[in-house]
Amino acid sequence: MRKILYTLSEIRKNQLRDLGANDKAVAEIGEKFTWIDRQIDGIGVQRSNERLAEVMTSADFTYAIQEFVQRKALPGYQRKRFNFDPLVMMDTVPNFLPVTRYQNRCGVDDLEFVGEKGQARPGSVQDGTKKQWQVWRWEKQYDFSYEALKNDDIGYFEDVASKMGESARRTLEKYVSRFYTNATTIARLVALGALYSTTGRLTTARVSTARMAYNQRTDVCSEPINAELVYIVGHSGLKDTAMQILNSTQVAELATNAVNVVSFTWIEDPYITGTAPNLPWYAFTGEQSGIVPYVLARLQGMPGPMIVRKRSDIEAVTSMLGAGRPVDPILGDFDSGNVVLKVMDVWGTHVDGTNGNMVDERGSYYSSGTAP
Amino acid sequence: MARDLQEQIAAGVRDALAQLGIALPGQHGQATQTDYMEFGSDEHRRYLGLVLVDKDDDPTGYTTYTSQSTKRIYRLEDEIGVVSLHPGMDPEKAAIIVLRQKINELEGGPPPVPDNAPSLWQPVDQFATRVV
Repeated sequence: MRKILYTLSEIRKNQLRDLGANDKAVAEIGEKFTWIDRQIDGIGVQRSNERLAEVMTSADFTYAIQEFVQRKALPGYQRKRFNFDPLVMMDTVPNFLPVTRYQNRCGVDDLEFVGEKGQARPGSVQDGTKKQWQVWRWEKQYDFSYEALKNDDIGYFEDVASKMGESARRTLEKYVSRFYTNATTIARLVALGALYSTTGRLTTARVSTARMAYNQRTDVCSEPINAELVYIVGHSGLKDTAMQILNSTQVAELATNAVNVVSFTWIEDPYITGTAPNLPWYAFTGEQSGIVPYVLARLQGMPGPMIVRKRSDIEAVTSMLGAGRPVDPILGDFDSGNVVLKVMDVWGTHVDGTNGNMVDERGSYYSSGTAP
Repeated sequence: MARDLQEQIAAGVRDALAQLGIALPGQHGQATQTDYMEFGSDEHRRYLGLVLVDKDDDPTGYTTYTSQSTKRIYRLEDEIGVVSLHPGMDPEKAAIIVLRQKINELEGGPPPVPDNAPSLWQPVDQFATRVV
């Protein structure tokens, strides 16, 4: 538009010059067309000597301004953790062969009255309970091409190593959760009777019942032992229920002014499956009882996961027979340029076809959470 | 199936030995376990603190609850415990809720093993098997 007005302005000037108009009349043509141009653009006259000016907006730059590319990696999800550590006894084993542990699960005989000149009868000591466990390797490897690592301009792979460490912990959490959620362990607890399992949903009264079951635990010689309900482990959906039972100054489900005397430590296990309202829960004892409900064995010298990388088999040289020097690990291996990482850990537990993973069944109590 | 068969055989052997007066030491199972309590048994009922109200009994003064499934009438053995545990509240309201919960547990039978319960992990299924 501006070019058209300018052209028209010049044509008119030339016409006036051809007709012999004076310079003042020719100059007025320029001012008049400038006025028309400003009116079209909506710009008022600011100064008397203002010239015709280009007005640029983003719309004038379809490619240079309106196209914008920004790539950025967002942080991943925060994982829900399962703090299983108090539920298992940690043990360290020297190698991958089964280790044997013995536990005296009984005291010795009661004393007996002995009359005058009488001789005490001989007592007896029970044999130990033998349990075995071993460790196995748990690993996963990841291959990245040289091109993929080089093309990663947003640091997408930068947290892969920490994610690999997280996956090791997550796998271990699932492994521990499976100690007591597997069908064999549950079937065993059910077969042990009403002091080891129930059907009730998690309520204050049911926690009290479970506590009473623990109060009746006995050793192999049927003597009472100091078993106490310490932990309630449950489906994530029971968290609010557990918190309500724990934190309420009144008995939660009764909604009255009754004093709440129930206490336990709540541990959320995000890997327990169930459909509301039938959500399973477990009650476990603490280590003060001497009961070893479950064991988590680790290999000596390997207390946690390790992330390892295959060393590149490439070396840079300047002559065929000259000395070589190491290259950037991102170059990967000689054959394919693969960069190979592996996360590895070693752990294990007691596995028994009848008892499941329970080292001692006295430390567990299961509820299917089905009965209202 | 195999496990059931194994347990049946083991139970049969234990029973046969028990008839001969031979007890297996150190066994902690259904047949010889001293603290075994059968679901729904009188022992289980007493453990839950429930009293079965017979037709000859007079439950006047007690809060009772009639089981929906068996039509049996129960009362709490120790209502004072409920009242002392929940001071200042309506005893009947507390008792009826606790009664219902206990009866559901008593008559609910053994808890079911969930259909989606994972199998016991064995190292034979070790390679490329996720722990789920």
